[in-house]
Amino acid sequence: MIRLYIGGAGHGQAELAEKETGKMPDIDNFHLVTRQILAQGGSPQEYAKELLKSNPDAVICSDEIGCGIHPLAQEERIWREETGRALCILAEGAGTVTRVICGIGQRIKG
Amino acid sequence: MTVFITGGSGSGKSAFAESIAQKLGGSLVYVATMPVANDEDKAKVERHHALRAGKGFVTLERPGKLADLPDGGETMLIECLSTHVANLMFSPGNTAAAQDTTLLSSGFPSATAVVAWTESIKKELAPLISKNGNTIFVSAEIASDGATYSPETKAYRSVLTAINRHLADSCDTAVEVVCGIPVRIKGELPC
Repeated sequence: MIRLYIGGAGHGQAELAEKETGKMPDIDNFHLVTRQILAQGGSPQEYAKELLKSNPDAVICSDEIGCGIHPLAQEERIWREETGRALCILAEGAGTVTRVICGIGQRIKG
Repeated sequence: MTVFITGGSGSGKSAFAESIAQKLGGSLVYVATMPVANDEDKAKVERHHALRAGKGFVTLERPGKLADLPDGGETMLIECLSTHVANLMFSPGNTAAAQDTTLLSSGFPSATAVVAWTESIKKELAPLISKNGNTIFVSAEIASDGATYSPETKAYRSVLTAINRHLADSCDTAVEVVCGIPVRIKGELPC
């Protein structure tokens, strides 16, 4: 099953994921992957759907990036929105979702 | 009952709010606060329309003004407070600001102006909190990025966070939506 770890920047998602799962995250900094996908003209939401199918046991870590002021630059707004939607898709398909705050995990699903 | 829903951008607040409205039932009214100024706004509104399609909502477009809404026992979903507060504070010539001399003379974006705006918006929201039926308020978490902003944006952040605290305090239930998952902050959710 997919295990998803999310939290604000620097809250220790990858460290906690490694501690709990016994392996390095398969995808760390998912929010930077979505940025790259958008830069190449791709769709983060499609990528998330594909990931659920192709890598059903992945440990995925991401920063939550949608909790600030609406950015002035359109590409920043799209990145933020698309990352949020892609994370919703991953969370829906994930077996567990853990929100990490100051290194401490709050299990919000599973 | 009254429900306050917050969360980051793209976190699934709208879909969750609609599911709560449907659970509460009755006559469903969706109050849209977003003005449509460009194609990006249009796409956003169309996405929301598609989300609500077939769910039985009557939509009222109320950019910049939440007064004179029906009070006949409906289940009303108001989306979104972050847009509404931005409309009020930054749209030139909006009626609320133009008619309220306290706001005009408070020297935006001073601390006095932040208090004046907050009180003005609280007053506007009061009938919606105490109305018959159910009200679901959707707002947004906008203050957790730690970035430095202009005094005007800081004032907006102060007003919206004060309104969010006020609504969380006043509503029966408060929820943060994280990656589409409701994280209950206060009260009970309808089954």
